[in-house]
Amino acid sequence: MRSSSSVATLPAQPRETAVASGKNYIYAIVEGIEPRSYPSLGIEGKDVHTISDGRIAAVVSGLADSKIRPARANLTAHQSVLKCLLAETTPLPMAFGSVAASPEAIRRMLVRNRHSFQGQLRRVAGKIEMGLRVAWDTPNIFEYFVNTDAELRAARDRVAGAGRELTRNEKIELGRMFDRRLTEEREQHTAKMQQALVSVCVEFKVNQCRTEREVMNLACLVPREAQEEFSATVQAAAKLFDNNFAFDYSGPWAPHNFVELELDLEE
Amino acid sequence: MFLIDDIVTSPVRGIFWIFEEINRVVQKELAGEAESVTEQLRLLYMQLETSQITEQQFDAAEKILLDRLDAIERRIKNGEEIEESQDTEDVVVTEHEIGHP
Repeated sequence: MRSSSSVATLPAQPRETAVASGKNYIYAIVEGIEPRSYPSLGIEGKDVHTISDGRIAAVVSGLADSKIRPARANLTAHQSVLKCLLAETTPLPMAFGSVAASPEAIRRMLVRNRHSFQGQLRRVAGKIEMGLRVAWDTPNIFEYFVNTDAELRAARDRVAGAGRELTRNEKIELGRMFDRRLTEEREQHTAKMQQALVSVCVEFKVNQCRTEREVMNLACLVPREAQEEFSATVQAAAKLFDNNFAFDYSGPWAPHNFVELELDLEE
Repeated sequence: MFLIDDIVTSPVRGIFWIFEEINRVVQKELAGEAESVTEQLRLLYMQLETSQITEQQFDAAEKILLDRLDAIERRIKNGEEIEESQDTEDVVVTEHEIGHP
């Protein structure tokens, strides 16, 4: 794996670099026209540079193959470039896999979308994204709920005490009740966490939980100067939860969850 | 509470987050069979991050899953090309790349 921490210190070289003709992979959109260059940092080990329309710039690298698979090596290369950029400015990260046919196509794309890009760059300027995931740290989430929720326990005991196999409808009803409680608990804990973090976050995005054990999956837009305070606040907020919860937070990231690049692809 | 912080304790620490952050579009845009492949990829990243598998094991399993994803994409693309043929776009964004989180 590419060590993104070691490449983060590479300086931008203040001169125009050769623009690769042909297909270009796009990592991000950044403000300003100052040329940026990160030799060999890109996907396929290609040199990363900027293509500007005179006001904003796309951060790109040449590409031998138009098909870029979401393989670990490519994801980490993509992330390494974003990490370098994030050390200098807040970029608008492009979706993984965005490929343009030529440098000219990128310039046209920049001009067409300039208004949208500039608006979004203003929105995220001076900020970074932090991620926070909280999960129930229990071996059996259903048992955990049955043990902590009287209503659910009563329902389970009622059907379990019948001394026979549960009917399909009974199973469905119990499952629904469990889902309802799961959603309620998640909403309650998410609100509690957002309340605790509101002083260090400009915006939240509540991402969907993908496993039953997940309590919340939050993306937080945080002012750069508040990053340490964010970590301290998460640690303090985590103490409001008991040992049945596990916390995992990470960042800084480019603001993936706070940009919507609806590329105008039509000519 | 149990807090996992940002301290880098292994070379692959953070790789699952990278997958989640960078690859979320893949998770969002694909449906059905592809979604299940992506979910398997997600598990694979989690196993790598928690040292349940080695990087070599990861690479081998990843290749199989990505090949499968390619095959699904080819099928989808072939199906779509019958309905509409767009060769004039100059920014190519394929199925799993469209849009944003």
